[in-house]
Amino acid sequence: MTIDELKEKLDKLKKEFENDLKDVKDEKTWNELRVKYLGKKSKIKSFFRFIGKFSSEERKTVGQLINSTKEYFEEKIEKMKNDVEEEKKRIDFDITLPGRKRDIGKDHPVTSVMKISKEIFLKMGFDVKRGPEVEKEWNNFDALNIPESHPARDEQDTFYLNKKKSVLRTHTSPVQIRTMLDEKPPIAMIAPGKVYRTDTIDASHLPVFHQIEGLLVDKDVKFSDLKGVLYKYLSVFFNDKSIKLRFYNNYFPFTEPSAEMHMSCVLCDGNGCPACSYSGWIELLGCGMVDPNVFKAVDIDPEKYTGFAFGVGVERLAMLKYGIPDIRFFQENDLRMLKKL
Amino acid sequence: MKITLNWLEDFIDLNGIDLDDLSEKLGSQGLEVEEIIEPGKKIKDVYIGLITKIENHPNADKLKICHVDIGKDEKLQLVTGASNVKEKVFVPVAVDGAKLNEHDIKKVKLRGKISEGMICSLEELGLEEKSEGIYIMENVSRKDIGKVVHPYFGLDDKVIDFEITSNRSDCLSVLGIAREISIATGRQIKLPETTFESTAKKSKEKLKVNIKDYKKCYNYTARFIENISLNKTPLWMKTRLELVGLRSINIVVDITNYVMWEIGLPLHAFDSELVENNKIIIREANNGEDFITLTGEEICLNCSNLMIADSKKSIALAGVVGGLNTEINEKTDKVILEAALFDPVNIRATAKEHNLSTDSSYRFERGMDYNIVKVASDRASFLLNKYADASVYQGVCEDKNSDFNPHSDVLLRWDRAEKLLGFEIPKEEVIQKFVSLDYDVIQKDNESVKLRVPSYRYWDVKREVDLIEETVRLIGYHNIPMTLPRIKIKNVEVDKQEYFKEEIFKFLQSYGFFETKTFPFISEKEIEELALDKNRLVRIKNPMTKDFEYMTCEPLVSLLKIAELNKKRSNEKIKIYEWGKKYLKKEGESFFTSILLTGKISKSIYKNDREMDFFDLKPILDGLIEMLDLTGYRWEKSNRKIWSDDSSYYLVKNNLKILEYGKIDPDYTEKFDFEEEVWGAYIFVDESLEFYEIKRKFREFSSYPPIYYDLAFIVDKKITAGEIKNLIEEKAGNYLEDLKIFDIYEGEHLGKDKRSIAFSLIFRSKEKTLQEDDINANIKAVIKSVKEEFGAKLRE
Repeated sequence: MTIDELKEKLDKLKKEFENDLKDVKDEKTWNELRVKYLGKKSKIKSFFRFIGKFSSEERKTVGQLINSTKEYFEEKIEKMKNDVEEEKKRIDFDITLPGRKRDIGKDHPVTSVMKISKEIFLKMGFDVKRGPEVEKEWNNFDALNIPESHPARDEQDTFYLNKKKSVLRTHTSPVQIRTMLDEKPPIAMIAPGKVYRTDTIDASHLPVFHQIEGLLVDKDVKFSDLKGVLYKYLSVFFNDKSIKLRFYNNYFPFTEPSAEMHMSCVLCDGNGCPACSYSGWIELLGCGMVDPNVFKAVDIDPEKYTGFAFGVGVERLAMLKYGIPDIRFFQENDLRMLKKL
Repeated sequence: MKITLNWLEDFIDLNGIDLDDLSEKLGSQGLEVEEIIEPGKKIKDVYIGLITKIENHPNADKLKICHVDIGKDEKLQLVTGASNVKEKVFVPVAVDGAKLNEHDIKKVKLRGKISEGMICSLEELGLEEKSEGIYIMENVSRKDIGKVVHPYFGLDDKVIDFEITSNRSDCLSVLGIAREISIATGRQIKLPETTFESTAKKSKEKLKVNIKDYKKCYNYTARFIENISLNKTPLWMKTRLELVGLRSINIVVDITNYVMWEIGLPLHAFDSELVENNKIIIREANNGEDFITLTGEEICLNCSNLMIADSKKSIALAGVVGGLNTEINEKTDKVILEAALFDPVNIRATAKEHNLSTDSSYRFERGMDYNIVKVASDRASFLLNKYADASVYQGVCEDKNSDFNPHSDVLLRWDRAEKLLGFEIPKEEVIQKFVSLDYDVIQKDNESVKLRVPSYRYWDVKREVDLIEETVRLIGYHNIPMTLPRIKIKNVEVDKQEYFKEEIFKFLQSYGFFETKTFPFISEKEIEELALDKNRLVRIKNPMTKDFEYMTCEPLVSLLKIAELNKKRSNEKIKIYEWGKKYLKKEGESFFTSILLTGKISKSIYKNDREMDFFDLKPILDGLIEMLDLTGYRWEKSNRKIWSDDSSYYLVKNNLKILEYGKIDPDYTEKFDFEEEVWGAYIFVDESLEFYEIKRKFREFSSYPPIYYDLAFIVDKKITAGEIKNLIEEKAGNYLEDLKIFDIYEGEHLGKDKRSIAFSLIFRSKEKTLQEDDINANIKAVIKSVKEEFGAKLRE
């Protein structure tokens, strides 16, 4: 046998090996390949026996030739071992199967809105207050400059009770009164809570809903501060610094000057959509400077102190923030909604 | 408050003004436009036609066949049953395909004859409640044939609906709204025509007026008007009244209503023949006096009600409603026209007391303009003179409170205004705006201006702060910049209840419970079914429905309704809670966390499906005990009706009920379509807070390794796992760190009514690594005592 003939034989063996390599599917076929090409009875082993038949000058070259082929086999087979093991792992360990899941409950969207709002106002330095829902008429109306003798008293759609001089509070504003009776200025507070109106249920009305009241009383509180605080709150709440606010005159007995605040629609960026009745603006809340008569009712000197107050509907905020089209969803409590929000 | 655009244009020029822009501006001034309605859009394809020929219908006596020229080549053939139809008159014709409000007009056959449309009445055009016969048009000529009818009927008008806030009584009129538009546009308003020729006779010679209580009536004027012809109300007036929502009644009533809408002041006309001695007395009613109103309602009066009376009887409930006894009727030809000003508070009290809210009381209770009394009386007289051919006596017979001053002088300090608003006010511009609205400058210097408020704002602009609001309203809120206040650090205490709430929420949510928000109401039916004490509950006097009549004391009922809804929608696993309240009449409100679970956990590759039960609720009970770090508590049976008999308990510590749980009575849950178990629990928040501590205490733990020892006992099934557990804990010695139950096994070979309970004991020392020898004695003691106490066998 000449060196060229040996080369030819080795090349033939290589080709044969490469062919067999393609058939390796698992550990078993891999092992068969290994035995066939590297085992004791393998062809490559038999080639080593030919070395002695070559001249001493040629022996070195022949040895290198056979060795490099053997190394080639070893390398390929080792690599194939990895592939086979990977494949085995993949079959034994289907990571696309579901995990051992369990449910984690969530806050109702109304609570979520209240939590974010609280966080923003707490950072600004406001305190959080609570008050009862079965409220004295005096706190809900009279102290807020809504005497029995004024027609504004009728506009609140009030639930009256079998308990003397009490109503279901129609707004969170009585918490202002309670706080101002309890503490002397400066006062900075918000009061989130349930409120009640005899509103017929439809896509935008519920008889039971939630409000967040805000009040700041100190020396030199200005309407411009009200604007600034509302902008801070809403731009952070909606995570949108480009929102615009506008203030339209309105009448609330407990504030003077009063305003209804409109916000550029966050759902359509003010371009017009069903949520804003194609006006680009959302009527979001009522606000104003605390009326001197309110201060008088709680024994704060209106010449010395001024203040601002506002009240915003929580469901309304949630509808805008989460894109909920109908207020009745809040009351339904369908678990599919509660899970997704 | 609806007004029409044409009517408004009588008071202010709107030429070239965009209605949408104007609405925006008015909105910013506090006068919100709710809706703009185009009534003409509901009427389509109705034309002026001339009846050229009428024939009898061959098949029907009452029907006639009219040939009508509407300017087309062919005359239309129209069948009508109207008795007033005649030849050579102009009529409104709805052709095939026309629209009359909700009706579509089509070509039809009437008793065998084709009718190519319809000749219309005012009723069909929506301008009258009930018409008799078709409408015959006047002042129309041949050249109008074929034109649309809208301009003729005033249907080319627009109706604007305003929302008027309760302080702005001055805007309850076309005049008042025109005044607001003058702010928005800078254009002048014009007053309507009021000059007419009166008779030589004077009202004050014919009539007598006497106010008995000047605090309830500030001014009363009466005018005598005779020779009234009860003509038809002019079509334009009728249309305007209909469009703003008033009904046309007769010319006299229509004119008083028209003037009320236009000028603001409610007027009243009495048939003077029915008024005794032409004498008007404004006095208190007698207690127990009966009175019948214009609408035939009988009311029983008391002395706080103010009446208009003649020398013998009451003839009107002042400012609210007239009396039936002096109503304008078909024989009326002389009237006494009232224009007066009443005290708003008294009118409101009377209207509320008798549940009579009228256009008149609505206006008077908001406060009317003292100075408009004369204008309104003059305007109505002018219209009666012009359209009812009436002779109006000169002047009015009047009585008034001479102390009543309809103008108040109010000082506006600029620095005060600027401090409250937060920007520098353009003082001269503001003063000019006030002047253009009829405020008089009484005195002014650099610091302030004293303004005399016009009488139309008497009722709501009384204080400096009111002028400050007017200031910003007149120049716009957009002038106010945005600033941030300095808020002083004050209350920084941690709110324990809020903290506890957070922790409860975290805990329940980690167990898969979802927060819900429900209506805290309960119905009388539910109260009865659950045997609750109705007398202790807060009841709503004006509930929206019977379902919402009482404030709840059993919040789980609301949760059951939520569960029911979810079940109906195939949400199978229901684990919900609510942080809510219980409301009692005497004790007030207390916070409650209500928890409900029912339904099933669906099958997965790791476990089979199963219905939820007590053991899904139990970790909540255990968790709360752990959260409150409770020891020395006890479980007491709760026998309330909502629970199933044998499964409900209170957790009690120091005689305070902290928690209550149970299986909700299947008889009750069946009403909500539940066949499966429904478990509920209440955490009483106030009581829990007695034990809840925000602070926690570090407990030292061992750094040595533990020894595990498992023991399984075969015991009679009557013996509870808890009993054995307690005994093991007692006997296992100080090294016992933890004790768990890890297996329950039942099998025939164990014996009848026997089971095996396997415990895993964990021993550990804080001082050393334990050896078997350290615990062997304890293990023996445990085995011995469990055997002796419970007749247990050790399972090898």
